[in-house]
Amino acid sequence: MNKKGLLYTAIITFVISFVFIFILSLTNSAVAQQIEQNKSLDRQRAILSAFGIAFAGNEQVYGIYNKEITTKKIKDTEVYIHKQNGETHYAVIMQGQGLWSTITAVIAVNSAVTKVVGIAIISQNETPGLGGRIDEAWFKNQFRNKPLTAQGTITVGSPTADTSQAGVVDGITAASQTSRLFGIIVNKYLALLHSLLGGSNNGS
Amino acid sequence: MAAKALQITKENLWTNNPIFIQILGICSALAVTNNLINTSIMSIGLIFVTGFTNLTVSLLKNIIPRKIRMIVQTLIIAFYVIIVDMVLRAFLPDINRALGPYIGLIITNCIIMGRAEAFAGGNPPVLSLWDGLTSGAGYMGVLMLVAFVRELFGSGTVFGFAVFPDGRLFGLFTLFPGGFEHWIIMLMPPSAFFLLGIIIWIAKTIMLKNGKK
Repeated sequence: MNKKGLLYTAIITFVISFVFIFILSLTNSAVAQQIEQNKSLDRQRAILSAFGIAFAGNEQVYGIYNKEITTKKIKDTEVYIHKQNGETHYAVIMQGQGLWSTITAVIAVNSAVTKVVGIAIISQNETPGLGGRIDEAWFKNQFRNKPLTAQGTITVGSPTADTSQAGVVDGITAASQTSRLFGIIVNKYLALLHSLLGGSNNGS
Repeated sequence: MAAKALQITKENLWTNNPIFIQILGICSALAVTNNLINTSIMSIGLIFVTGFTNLTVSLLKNIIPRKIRMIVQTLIIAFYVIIVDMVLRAFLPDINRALGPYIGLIITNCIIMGRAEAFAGGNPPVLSLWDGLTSGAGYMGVLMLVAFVRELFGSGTVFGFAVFPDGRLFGLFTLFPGGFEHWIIMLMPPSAFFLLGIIIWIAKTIMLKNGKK
């Protein structure tokens, strides 16, 4: 067959595309289940971390999660509940726009929504080394048992207020946009939690 | 062939280094190098993709018509990158999380297509594989150097370990009274630009000196 001809080119293009994509599909179906499991593990691990529940290794996550966490639908929102030392803590999955793409995270609060119990990141695609540092421990630990302002908000990265004050945490140096957008997401879900849990305050 | 392989190694690591001589793959050199861990994983991914793309392009070079060779190369590169992405997602989810969008961006790295076009299209498979692997290694070497300087001065750490806790070198004696001040510029892409410029300057100076002898 003429190697410069149109027919040869078309057949070769088709065959090569077919072979490569076929192998990709095979690989995909081989690992799809594992990837799904990893995703649900990520989610459970994030929820446990947000509540501040300790676990050693991924093997323990599933068992501890099923023992400690209950879920409840309040006004169409899935709320995760954890009871400890007579206190009840509530968490929701947050989702919002970061600088490059969607940030998915968990935020846990106390029943009166006056302090954050903790946050954890499920997935993010912020700039590695800059905005991606929202997933680093020092950043997330700032939210651990952090009291909110009187208005029930949190400021991420304030030029004036310092982090010893209620409702103020440090932003990330050289990632002011991610810090600002993360603050918007957190406050949006704090408001949501307030509307879900507020008023009764007893978590009934 | 051994002599040829040795020559390829020397060229890709030094005299024809993809970063400081061919100036390929600069985009990721600016973006990922503020942290050694991300840089090493990114480089290992790139070494794998460059090597196997070269091998595949070389194996297929006689049946691919010249006019569609570039689109086929792109297909092969994308194929390997997606394989890397899926394998990391399934078996090394933590590394996948750390690297985020950069895995997909390996596709756009100019070194891969540059080597496929310049080398694999006209050389036997095994040599092409070796050329791809060493090109990737040449890239890795320079990037690790840049990342080392950037992480050290930008975050005060090396591979995540604090080098100047409380302003003391390895906690032994005071190097920075009043604590180590992070160099913000080192965390930003422009610092990689300056560092690469300095590396190109030093490398070229050494090469010119060797040339005169």
